[in-house]
Amino acid sequence: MKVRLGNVLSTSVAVGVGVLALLAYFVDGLAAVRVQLLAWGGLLAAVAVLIGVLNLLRVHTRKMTEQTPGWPYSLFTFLGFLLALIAALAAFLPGQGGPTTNIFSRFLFQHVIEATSAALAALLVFILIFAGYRLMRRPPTLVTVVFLVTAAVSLIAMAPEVVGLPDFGLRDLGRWLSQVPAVAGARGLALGIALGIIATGLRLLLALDRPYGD
Amino acid sequence: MAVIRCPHCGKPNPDFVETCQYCEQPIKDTESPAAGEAALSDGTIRKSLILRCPNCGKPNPDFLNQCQFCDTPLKSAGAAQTPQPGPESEPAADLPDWLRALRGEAAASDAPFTPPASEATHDWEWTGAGEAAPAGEPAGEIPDWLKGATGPFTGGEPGPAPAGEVPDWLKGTGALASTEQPSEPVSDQEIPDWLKGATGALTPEPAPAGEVPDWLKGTGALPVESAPPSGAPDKGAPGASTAFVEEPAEPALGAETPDWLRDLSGGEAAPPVGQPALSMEAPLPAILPGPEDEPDFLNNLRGAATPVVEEEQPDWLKSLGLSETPVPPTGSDAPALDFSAPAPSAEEEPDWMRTLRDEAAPPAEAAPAESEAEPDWLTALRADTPTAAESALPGTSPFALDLGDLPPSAEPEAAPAPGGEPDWLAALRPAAMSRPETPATPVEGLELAQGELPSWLAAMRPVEVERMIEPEADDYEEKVGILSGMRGVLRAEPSVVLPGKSAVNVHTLLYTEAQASQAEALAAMLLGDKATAPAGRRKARLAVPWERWLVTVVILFGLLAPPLLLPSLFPRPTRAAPETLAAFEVVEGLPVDRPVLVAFDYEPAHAGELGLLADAVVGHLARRGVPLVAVSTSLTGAGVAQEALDRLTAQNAYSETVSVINLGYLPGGPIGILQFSLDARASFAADFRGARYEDRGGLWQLPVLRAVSTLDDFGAVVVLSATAEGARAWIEQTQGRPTPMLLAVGAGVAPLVRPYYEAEQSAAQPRLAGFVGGVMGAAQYEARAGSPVSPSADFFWQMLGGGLWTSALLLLFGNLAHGALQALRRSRTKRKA
Repeated sequence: MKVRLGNVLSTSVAVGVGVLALLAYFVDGLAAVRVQLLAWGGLLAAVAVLIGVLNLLRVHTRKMTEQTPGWPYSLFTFLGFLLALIAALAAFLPGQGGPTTNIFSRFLFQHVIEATSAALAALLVFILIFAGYRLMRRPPTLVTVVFLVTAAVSLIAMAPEVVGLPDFGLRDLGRWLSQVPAVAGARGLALGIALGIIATGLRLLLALDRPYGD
Repeated sequence: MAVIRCPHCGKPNPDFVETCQYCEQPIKDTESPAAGEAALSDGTIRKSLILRCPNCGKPNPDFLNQCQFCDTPLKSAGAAQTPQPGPESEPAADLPDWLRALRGEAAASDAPFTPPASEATHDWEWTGAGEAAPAGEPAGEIPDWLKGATGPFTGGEPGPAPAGEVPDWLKGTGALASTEQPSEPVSDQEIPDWLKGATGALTPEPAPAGEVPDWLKGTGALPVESAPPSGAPDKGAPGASTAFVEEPAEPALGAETPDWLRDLSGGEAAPPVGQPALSMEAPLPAILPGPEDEPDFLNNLRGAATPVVEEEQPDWLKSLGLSETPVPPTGSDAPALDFSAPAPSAEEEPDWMRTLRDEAAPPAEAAPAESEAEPDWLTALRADTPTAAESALPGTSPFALDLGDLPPSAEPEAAPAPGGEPDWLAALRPAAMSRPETPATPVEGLELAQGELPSWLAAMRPVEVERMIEPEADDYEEKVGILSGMRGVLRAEPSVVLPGKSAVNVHTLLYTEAQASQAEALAAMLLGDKATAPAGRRKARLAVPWERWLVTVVILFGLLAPPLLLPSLFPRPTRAAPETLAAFEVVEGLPVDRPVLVAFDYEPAHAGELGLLADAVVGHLARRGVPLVAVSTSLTGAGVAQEALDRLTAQNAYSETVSVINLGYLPGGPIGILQFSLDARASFAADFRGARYEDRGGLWQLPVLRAVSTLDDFGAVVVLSATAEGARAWIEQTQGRPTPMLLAVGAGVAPLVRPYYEAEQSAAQPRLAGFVGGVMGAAQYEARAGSPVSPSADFFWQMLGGGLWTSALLLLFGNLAHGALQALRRSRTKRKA
């Protein structure tokens, strides 16, 4: 069996740090160790964000150079990055504020990022409504009908009351739907998520899963 | 059996074959020179020369480069021998007698043959003779018995043999001069055993006229004045042993001549006239034995050529049946030799010979017509030769028989050998052997009788293959390599690896007539479809999604109509949910000297909903003057947080760095939250703007952050999250802390985080104190807080109401309509069906 030193080292570090962090919950003397490890983890996370940005630039640059299908979108992505970078560098100009709070950055954020994000969210809403509106074009099923009724009732329950329009108990029904069945489902999801986290954590501590290497 | 040399390859072939058995070239080509002759450029014929092999000493024609027996180079530098040429250009008139006889010419040649002066040869080989010893040849190299032999190379009287050097058995032959070489009598003890049984071979009797075989007449053993029998067959065929029928040898008998030899010579000494017994023109076949193992035919030769006085004949010789016969004629008149075994006497005949004769007793009808006058021994010998009628097997060599597999005609139990026949001879005896009768085709210009071969010799004759062998035709032309384009070369690639395509169609489709007709119909249909397809292009029509446009219009109307047309359609709520009231109470009870951590964990896309919640909750904090410290675990959330703080600062006269600060992005997700909760100062060294405030002693020396080091130093934690994961991360990583937490989530996330809220309610002092969900919750919170509603807030409230109601109505009525239409279509389809 061939054993590579790199894999052994990375696995040892990962397992050791995880065990210490876990033990720190039970041993008070390891609190400082845990804090230090968490601080290093935070630094690594920040560096990972930077690496992610650089990798994103590399991917889109390759798409542009090789002119793969959809390369104009990569061009816009690259231009946006350049603009944001230029806007951030403008902070070094006197009287312009910080990299993120100068006028250029705020302009890009307010009129580009926020606007486009809001537009996408609105489009998502329209798509969902249109899909719900055409739900009965296919042969109806029980699940489809229940979904449709639940959605309508929930929307009505969240909607403001209409002056002079009785709610016919729909708001109470909506409230009940959101607080009882939905919460029950949410609890189940939470339990499943918790169990998954436990299993994943154990696998990481036991070096069964090594997302940091092969 | 005469031997003809192939003019092409020079190898010996029997005279009865027409094509060379080695090179398959015609031997008897009239246009090519005869065997032993070479055609010169001027058209004359020269005799082929004889070269002695330096290794084995056997004769080879001069046109060969290698010895045909041992493959030794004949014409190497070390070859001492030099061919003894005959006449370079010998006119036809100067041809030797034997050659002339072959061509039908008369008169013997006078040109003596001088053998090459070479090393010793076999004694039985005739190395030339003449009146004088050959030039350059020591007298001792020529067998003495042969020196006196006359023939085409000598054309003269046989020379005298030195005394004592002539084998006694040969002294009586005509090869020696009788006057000079009286032979010594040979006693019976000196006669080898194998020779004793040869009856008649050495005791020729004067045969009556017509009874002496031709082959015997020419040996010279018979008296010269004997006339050849008239009935002697003229066997000048290829089978004729012309080489041994040259001249009757005159035995020179004297007082010392043995009786048996004297008998052979007929008692009269006469110089042999004619040619020697052996012809050296053609090289002697290798099968001829040496003096130690005289073959029977040779015994017959000498015996028949030597008439023996009857009273002097030994018994064994008497039994041969020979009688005094005149000297047989020579040349064209010389009869062919008969190699049939002579019949021995009853007393002297060895067992093996007796057995041979008995087994080979020919039928009466197979005997030739002239057998009536033939001696008994000759008859017996001829009978030994199986005829075609008797043969059961094709001519095969006795050596080719399988061991243990006797021929059908073999009669092992009848094998004689009561004590005389050696086993090897019995095994070699071809019991069933046939040979197609070779027609006696006379050689052109030569009237010779065909001799009958003994069985063992006939078995050695090449067998004609009856089956037709197709000539090998190799038309393969090489395509690769340097030999490309050439034929008859070895293939560069073995044929076994050459890909071959099976000629058999293994993929034959089996189908019936019905299937075939159906396939044809389908093909016709397809072709018809292709034919009817219009070739013109249709103009593309823009498909208008009227349904989508309709829905869009309806939604826009529902969104814009209430705030624009019906601004009071949706009044603000007057009641609040319990969780919203609890949150209000928590905020209302927070101390103002402790900052509150506000986590803006939502994207700009959710700013429409979460912004309202932020305005409601954070605004309440701001109105109370609680310091705010903003943080975000999202990259863009920090910017959203900054905008919210800027708005609140403007509305509530917050002083930055005194009352509010935005720390910015907290990396690491849950790890960052945990780290910040444990050591907040280690997480940030600068705020969202990047300012370190070093002039003020650092970031954490600012008034708003001076008292903060851990999460416990905050008065509360308000989490504004658009996703359940963000909210859950704050809840899970900060559990166990006494700092109360307020959740402000969207309407869709509220059910997912409600369990956490409800689970905390059982505690005495729940950490998750309040929970505000959606725009409705924000409105309820503001209504409880008594916050003034701004016009924009009211506008958005109206749009919210109109949009929610429109969406709900579209879902209901739209699906009802679609369902009704589908049902109608199905009913119509059913009716039509």
